[in-house]
Amino acid sequence: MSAVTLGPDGAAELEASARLRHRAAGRVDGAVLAWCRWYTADLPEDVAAERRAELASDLFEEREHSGAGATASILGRAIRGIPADLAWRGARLRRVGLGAPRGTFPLAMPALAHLAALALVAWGGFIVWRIARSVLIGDWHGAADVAELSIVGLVLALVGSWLLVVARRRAFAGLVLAVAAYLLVRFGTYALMETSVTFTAFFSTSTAQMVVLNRVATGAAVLFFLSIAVWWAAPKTAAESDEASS
Amino acid sequence: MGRYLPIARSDIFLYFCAISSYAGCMPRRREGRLVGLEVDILGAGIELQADDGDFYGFALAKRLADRAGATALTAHGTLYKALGRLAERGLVESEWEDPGIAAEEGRPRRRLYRVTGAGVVAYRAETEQRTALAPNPRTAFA
Repeated sequence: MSAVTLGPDGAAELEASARLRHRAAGRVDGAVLAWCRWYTADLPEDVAAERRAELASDLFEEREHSGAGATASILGRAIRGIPADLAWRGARLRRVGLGAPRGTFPLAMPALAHLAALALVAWGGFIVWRIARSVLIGDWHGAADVAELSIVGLVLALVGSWLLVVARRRAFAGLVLAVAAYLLVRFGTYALMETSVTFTAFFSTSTAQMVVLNRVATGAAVLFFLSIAVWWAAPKTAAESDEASS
Repeated sequence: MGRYLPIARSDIFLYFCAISSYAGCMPRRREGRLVGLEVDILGAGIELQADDGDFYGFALAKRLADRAGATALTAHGTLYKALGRLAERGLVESEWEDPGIAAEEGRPRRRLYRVTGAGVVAYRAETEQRTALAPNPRTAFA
């Protein structure tokens, strides 16, 4: 009895049950469940479903007990529990990581992906801000397509970062971010040259090295996000991989 | 040098905590022992299952707060992580409620817990040890 065994459709049944909301539930309940969906996103399906269902039941029962007055308590419980949630998630991920096939890196993948996406958005924001500033003061002499591609790159980076939060769309997010990385690293560097005297001087004194650096950085960024897309496109548990290899 | 210590090495941390004014001193789990929250969960769980046969997360959080005379309930993450630890040690067991019952009452399914025989034994052993180790207030004036 201690090891809860769910049937083949057990996780789906629990997910369906967890979707029930109390009539007094508000945005806080939704936010707490969204947080739970986030920190269980990469965990095995049955573990994630059980945690979400258990939390959904807890929120429902607290609403049933205290009604609309439970909002502060629910929010407080969720915030105070964040360290424990993350520790629990880390422990679960380590278990998955220990059983993962060699050459894979599931442990730090979500955090690394979010960090890289944020860095890309920050880089894109910086470039677009420089372009806008340069245009406004009448200092822009670069090609229009470089500016346009940088803006498109930033928009794609923002869309990709948002998609990355939704577990089921992470593979697609990787593809979007790979395109964004290509545009922002490749053409963003050229846009930056048109807006910065220092950068232009640096580029002109070591052109060959800078071109190589630009190509390498573009390739690395695109490869990173493509690998994320591939990784999440066909998630396999360690057991499935073992079965496939045997 | 260890043989000259008047107390066990493992107890030094606890003595340090007692005399330290730093509130951030974290209790360290000792092999085979239970931390405070786990003892409270087992105690509250035994009470709840004596009434209803089993218990679920929110009922447990409410009982824990009532026993402690607190208004704030145990955080979700803290409570379910501790329950998971106890389940892994075989001190509590759980099963999901029949979906028909939950559907009839129009609410999500509850995860129903029970304190196992091993859990009852561990709870009694832990409370006895804690009672034995707790300093008698009168000895301070002896």
